[in-house]
Amino acid sequence: MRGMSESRSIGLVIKKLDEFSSNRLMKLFLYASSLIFFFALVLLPPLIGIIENISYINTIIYEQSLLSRANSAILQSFIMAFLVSILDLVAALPLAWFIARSKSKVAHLIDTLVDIPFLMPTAALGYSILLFWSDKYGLSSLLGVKSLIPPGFFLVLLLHFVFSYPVIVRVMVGELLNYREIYEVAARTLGARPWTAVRTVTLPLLKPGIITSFLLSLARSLSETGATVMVAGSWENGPVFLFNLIEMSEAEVPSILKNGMLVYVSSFLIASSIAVFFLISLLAPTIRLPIRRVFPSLEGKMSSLKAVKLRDSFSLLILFLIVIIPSIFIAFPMFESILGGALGSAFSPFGPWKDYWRGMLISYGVSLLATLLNMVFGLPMAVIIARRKLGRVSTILKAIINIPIIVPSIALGVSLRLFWGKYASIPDFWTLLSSHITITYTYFVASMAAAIESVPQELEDVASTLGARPFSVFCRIIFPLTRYSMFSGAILVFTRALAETGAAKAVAKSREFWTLPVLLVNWIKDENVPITQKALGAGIYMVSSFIFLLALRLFFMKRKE
Amino acid sequence: MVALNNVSLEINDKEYLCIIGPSGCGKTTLIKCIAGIVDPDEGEIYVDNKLVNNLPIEDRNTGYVFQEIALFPHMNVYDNLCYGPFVKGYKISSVRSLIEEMLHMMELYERVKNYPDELSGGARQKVAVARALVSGSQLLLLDEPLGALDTKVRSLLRYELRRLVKDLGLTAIHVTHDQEEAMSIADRIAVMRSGRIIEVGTPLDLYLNPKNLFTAYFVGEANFLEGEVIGEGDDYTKIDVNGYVLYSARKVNFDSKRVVVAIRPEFIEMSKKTIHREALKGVIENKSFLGSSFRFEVSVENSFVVSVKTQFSTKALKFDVGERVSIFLPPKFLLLYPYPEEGLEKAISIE
Repeated sequence: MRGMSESRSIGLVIKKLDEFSSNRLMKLFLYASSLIFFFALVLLPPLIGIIENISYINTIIYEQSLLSRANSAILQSFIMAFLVSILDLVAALPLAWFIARSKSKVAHLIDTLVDIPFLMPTAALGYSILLFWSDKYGLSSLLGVKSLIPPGFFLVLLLHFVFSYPVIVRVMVGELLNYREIYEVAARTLGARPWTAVRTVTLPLLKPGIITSFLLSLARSLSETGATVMVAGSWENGPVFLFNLIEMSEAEVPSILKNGMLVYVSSFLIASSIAVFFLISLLAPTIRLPIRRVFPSLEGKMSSLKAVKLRDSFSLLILFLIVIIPSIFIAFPMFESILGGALGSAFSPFGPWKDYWRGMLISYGVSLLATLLNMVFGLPMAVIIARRKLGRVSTILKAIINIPIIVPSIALGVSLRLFWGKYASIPDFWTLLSSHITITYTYFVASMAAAIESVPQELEDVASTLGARPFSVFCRIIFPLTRYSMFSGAILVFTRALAETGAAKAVAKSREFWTLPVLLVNWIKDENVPITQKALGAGIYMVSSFIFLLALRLFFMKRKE
Repeated sequence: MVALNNVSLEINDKEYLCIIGPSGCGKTTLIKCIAGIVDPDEGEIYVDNKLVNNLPIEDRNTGYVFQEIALFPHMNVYDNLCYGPFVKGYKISSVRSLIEEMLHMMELYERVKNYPDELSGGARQKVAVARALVSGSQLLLLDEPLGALDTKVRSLLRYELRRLVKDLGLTAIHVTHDQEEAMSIADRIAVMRSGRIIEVGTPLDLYLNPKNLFTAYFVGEANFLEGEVIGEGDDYTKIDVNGYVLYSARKVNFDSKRVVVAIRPEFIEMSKKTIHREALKGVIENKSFLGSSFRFEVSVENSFVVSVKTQFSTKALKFDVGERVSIFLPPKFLLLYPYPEEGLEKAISIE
């Protein structure tokens, strides 16, 4: 009886909402609140935060040594990002090819394995790579050297290579699966060897996908902070410089100078990242690479079965040796810690573990809240963009919602700290939450807008002509057809928020508000913290994140069925 | 699922062969096997008396025109045309005259700098054919090349295609589901069904004397009546159809007495008066105007219904629904087939 009355009242609520949804004012309120959320919470605070404080830059003009260190760090950011993106493209494309084109069961397995670094929290990933390549615990002890690859440029290169690699593979596999192979077949019927057909036809046609994956890789490399700090040693790029600057005491750098430097580097990183991304997005599609010559004999040899097998083997070798094994290496010290009985101390309510569990609570709380708010306010925005509710403005919105993922997150964090910091009544938790909302906003809106765009407008029109009101149309047409994208968008937001280090570090004024990744970075940088504690901390973080994601996935999959 | 089953087909040099058949019957798979795009599980394919089974696509030297056209979207018309010679390592200067000749023949000279998305459907198809021809192939494989075009453009282009193939002395295998297209351009037609070649013959042969019941059904239009052979003379066969006696000028060369009688609607004579001693009486049940002809459905008293087609004329205009008419089924056009074991409906089913 209770169940019946509950479902009746739910039915009544839905009926009321349905009636409301036809109301012009209601629609206006929905779209306006979503626009206000975007401008007032996502886009404008970081921009205003920087612009308002731009005068701080005057304070650093005479600080030549710090200034040149900052300039060099900014330059290094772009050198690293470009280098990593090129290397990743070269290495990931053959593997994406293998996954998309191979009919073997191995390809399915590889397809799953390739996501491991993407699913791992970057702080845990960074520590795993540090242990594998650099620490005496890893490969170095096997080879009898002190540190095979000491922290610095090359280790950062390896780290950035690893976390961007799955992104490129994923995008390119999707592109290859959507690609109409008929062009390649047509080229071959005209006499082109397989390699020639790929070089002259397939790759030029895959250019949009290649540009997208290059930009995503560039964005990740420019933005990543926490794991980079762990493996950077004395090398600095923009985010590492900002991180180190925040860590510096008043005695090392006076706060006026510190603020000036934070504003200078953040504004430079924000402006240059936006400029680089828009330039690449606008110019790259117009570039046509000239295909002037073919080498029938050489390209014939490169198309041979032997050459293809060699290429596939090399791709798999890179995947396992450089990507997978270093990523999961952390499991060894973690299990060692567990077997050594360290797990018991991890649950002790005293000492360093107390901070650890508080950090975990904050991380999960902030990530969940950011995901919920982005879903609620991001959905109408996705509709505005996908259905061009505001005409040309929708097109502009589609471009500018990408800004938060283009900009290095620690720079965003710095500007948010400056913006919200001037309001004494704003609690620190809000600043932390706002930074996570800003950084993850794009992931949900962009994926939902793409999903809604893929649903033909005619379906909505048909439902309306049959008498369905807007809310019904959404519930019965749009939602069932896009719910998988909605859930995957939400999972993406949550994962990204949980792993965020740079912005979280920038906005946290005290240790009380350290999220788990920030705390882990500090543990790992601290030589006094024992390796068992570091590995266990990173391991628990990784396992909890896996379990949470798995639970969400199972929940959504069940719902999907 | 078998796409092709026991297919055996010989195509003559410089011949224009059309392959027709219902969707999914294996037409495209057959030419894809010839081109090397699909590897057959068994069997042998010879081109110019040379076994080509183990040759990769690029070495088979067949010009393939795809149903989806498949012009390279990132290349303009000229670059699309140059692609074949270019990837084979030829100097473009050595084939320039051929390309220019092709552009003239196809009336594409004005469009050389256009990209595929700037061309009309017809122009795109012309470029696709020209691209296949410039690659130097002597065997042209055309997979529903006109399928995506408007009726008008399609009927114009099909004659151009044939003219081009004949002028250049090529061999062409043209897959289509449009029997009118096949009839109008092919030297011979192969009819396919469920992965098998049912019959091969000239268009006129397949129309007038189809050896197979399915061919009679699929090529053109036909009335099918079930009957029984009740007598044979020197130059005729006498059949009982639902109590009516029909005469066919064809001899029964099979054992079964139970037969299927087929006649094309356009061969049936219809008049308001009794025109022949063996004419049947009937009533017009339905009438439709087809543009240049009329189609009637005539119900023969207490028996069967036949379709009758007449050319547009003032006489044809005077036939109305409900009118009593006399129809005559000329013996020379009455085709006879043994009654199929699987039943008539299944034997002519296109699914």
